[in-house]
Amino acid sequence: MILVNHHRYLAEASDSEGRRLGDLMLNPDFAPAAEWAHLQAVRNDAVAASAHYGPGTIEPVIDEVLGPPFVCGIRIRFDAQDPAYQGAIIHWRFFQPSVEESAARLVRNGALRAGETFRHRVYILPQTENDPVPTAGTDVESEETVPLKLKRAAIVRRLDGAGRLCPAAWNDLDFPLFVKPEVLAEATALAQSAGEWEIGGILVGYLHRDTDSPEVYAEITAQIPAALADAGHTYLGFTPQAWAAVSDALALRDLQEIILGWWHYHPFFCRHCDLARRHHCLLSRPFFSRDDQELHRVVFDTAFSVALLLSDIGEASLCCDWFGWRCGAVETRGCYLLNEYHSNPDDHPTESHSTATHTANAREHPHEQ
Amino acid sequence: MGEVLAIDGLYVRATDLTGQRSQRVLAPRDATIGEWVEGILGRLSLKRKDADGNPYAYRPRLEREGRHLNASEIVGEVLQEDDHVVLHPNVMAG
Repeated sequence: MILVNHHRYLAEASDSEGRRLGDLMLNPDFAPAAEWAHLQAVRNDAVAASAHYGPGTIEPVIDEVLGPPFVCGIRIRFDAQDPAYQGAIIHWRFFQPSVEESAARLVRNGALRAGETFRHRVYILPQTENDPVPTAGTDVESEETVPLKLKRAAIVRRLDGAGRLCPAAWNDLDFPLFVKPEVLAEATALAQSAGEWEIGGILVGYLHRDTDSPEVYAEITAQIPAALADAGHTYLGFTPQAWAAVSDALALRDLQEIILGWWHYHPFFCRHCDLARRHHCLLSRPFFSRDDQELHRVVFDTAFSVALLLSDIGEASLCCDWFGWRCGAVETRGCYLLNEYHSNPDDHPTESHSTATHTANAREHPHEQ
Repeated sequence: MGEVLAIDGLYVRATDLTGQRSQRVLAPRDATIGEWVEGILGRLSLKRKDADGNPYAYRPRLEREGRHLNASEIVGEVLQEDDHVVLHPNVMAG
């Protein structure tokens, strides 16, 4: 996957009073941004529907207020895209993780104190001959294009009676995502049975192309527990054995479903803390940890991959949060809960079976052994 | 004029866990599975290291036998032409 990049990206850091602190060399992870931009292009029927992006160019978007060389974001133009398609702008916030990483250098040399906030503006310089080979993401070699399995199905049928989950996280940039009620019910039941242990699994289903528009949307039809995962109170190890078991379970279902993401459960971490501490503790709220983000990046880097987090924060019911790729970063997002009446539309090739809990490879959760 | 070393190998299909990355790759017969896997991670655009620079461990699963191969096994002894191998990462959620 070749992404040509003609620029170096840097950030000009200054303190709260505008004093210049220094320049930060940025090394952003462009691959997720390219994946997201590619999916946006697929949703606009501007490129062929493949699972991953093809060759393209990273183009800086100049900040109209500050002028060059300052940028307000990037745009990724794929070689094979419809020339009339402009492509989505990936906002400057995309650079934030890279800025934070690079700022550690300012802390080390004393220009910035740990915990101190600073301002930054991203700017570009042309690549020089001595710069490393212009790459993005993890690799510059070519790979075979895997076409997306898109089934034609009307989105209006699924929207009919569908409820909105996580309405506060809704964003118009996100592709529509639907989940069958029984998927949530099964994951919730498994989470509640796990007690103080983490638990999780994968989410499977279909990608559809709307019949009346180029829109692409995802429908989660089942969850498959990662029964062989290495579960602890504060971690969940998705081992090769765990992946093998869920892959076998998916194959046994034989419904041509694809892996759309994963789910996991955070137990009530603050169960044994006093109420006063809980009030200020970050662990007393739902959070997608750094490890969670890293797992999503390593395994679920296609832009249509999503994650469901169930959190016990000491309330009567579990919190349910959805995450997905937006502008190259993992963000909270919304999800439609399918109307039960429409959860088995007849435009599926086969009847869907959600319950995959008891598979040939499944075993009980470790804490029950 | 360049020189090229002729490799005695076989072609294998390697995919990632989701099946969305797929590559037909050459596997040198005398290489260990560990060496071969290390060489194809880039071909599949799979992430090699975590944010702290620690390498990820990927176990290749030979679909024909339904088992994970060990790093010390020899390609020519365990793989056949057109085999399908799926790379399973060892990753941790928090």
